[in-house]
Amino acid sequence: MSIANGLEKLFIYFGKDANPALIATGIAGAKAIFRPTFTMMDKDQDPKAKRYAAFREGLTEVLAMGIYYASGKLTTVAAKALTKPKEMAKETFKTIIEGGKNLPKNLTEEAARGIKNNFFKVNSTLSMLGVFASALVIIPEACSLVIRPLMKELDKRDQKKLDINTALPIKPSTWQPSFQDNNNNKIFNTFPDRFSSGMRVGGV
Amino acid sequence: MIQPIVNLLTKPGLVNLSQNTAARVTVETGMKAIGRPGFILLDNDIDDNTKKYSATKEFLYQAICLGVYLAVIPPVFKNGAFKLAKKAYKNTKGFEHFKNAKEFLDFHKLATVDKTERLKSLADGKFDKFKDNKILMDLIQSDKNMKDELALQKGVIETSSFLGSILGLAILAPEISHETIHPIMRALGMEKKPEDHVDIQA
Repeated sequence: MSIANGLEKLFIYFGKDANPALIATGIAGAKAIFRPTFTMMDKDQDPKAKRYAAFREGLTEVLAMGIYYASGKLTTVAAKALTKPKEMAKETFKTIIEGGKNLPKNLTEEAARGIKNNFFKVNSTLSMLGVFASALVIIPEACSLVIRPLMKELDKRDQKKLDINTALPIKPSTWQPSFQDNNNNKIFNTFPDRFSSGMRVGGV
Repeated sequence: MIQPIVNLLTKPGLVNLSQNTAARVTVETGMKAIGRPGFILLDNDIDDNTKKYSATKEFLYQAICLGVYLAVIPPVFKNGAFKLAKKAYKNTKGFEHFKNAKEFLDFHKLATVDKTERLKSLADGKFDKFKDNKILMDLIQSDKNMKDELALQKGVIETSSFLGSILGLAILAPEISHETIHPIMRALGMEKKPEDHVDIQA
């Protein structure tokens, strides 16, 4: 398969269904790669601060990726429950929405197309609403629940490491996660020289 | 009980928005720009100054994301990719019927509905812009699946919007925010200049 053929297949795939959850997962995946990479490329920062920030950024985006993906799966289940005709067997419904050919004889092609279209529309809208809810509420909450305690734990472990030559605890770097801004306001910024959004999602 | 929900979820406006990557990401970023600072302001566990500071920062970040996104995606990626595809496919495979991405999307929106609705739109003159194009007129009156017939052109727009979203939101917006947020915060009087900053650990 040539590159042109592969690209054309990709275009047709997204042209038929630009699934919101799938695209949001892809964008979060790209952020999980690019943002820690850019942070690590910054030559002006303390190496420990860089590693800390890059790890947190990567972790945030991986978490976001998982949530977007899961929201897509959940909304598909909901769309199936909402659009399956009551009297129809599960297997028949599955065959219809997957575009299978072995349909029951009493079902016209037009009726099957109607059911498939209905499922597609409900699934697409629910998937979009799932992405909105994830971006607005679920991901910031999940970050507060998972990332902050994890980073604190990692910081503690870091302080317990022993120097390989002296067997004494490694002298901590002068850099520490900052929880205060220039005006002594409490902030949740772990990388003081770079911008960090208040809810620690989206900001660097 | 279920049917009203299904009717709401299948509204053409919602379905079209959900299948339009650029518009959807724009709405999502706009919602984040309002919603996230809103949630920070509603948090009772942090003091007022911190709330104001964090909410302003979050709003500025999301507003920059939105600005970068709007500046990059529609003009560069959506329209640019469609033009490029017209050239790459040498005006074949359906690209020859449309001047630009906007014209194609107008047609796609009207065409990818049930045949009865499509024919009603035709009778109402909504397809008048395309009435001189016999191939398109025959297509909308046929029983063919419009989504499949127009998938390649739509896919070019969606794939380019997806790639543009990655460039805009994962690369450009964070870098631009890094350069601009602190000067804006200082101009708003919410941050001191670095030289005025007293090291609290000293």
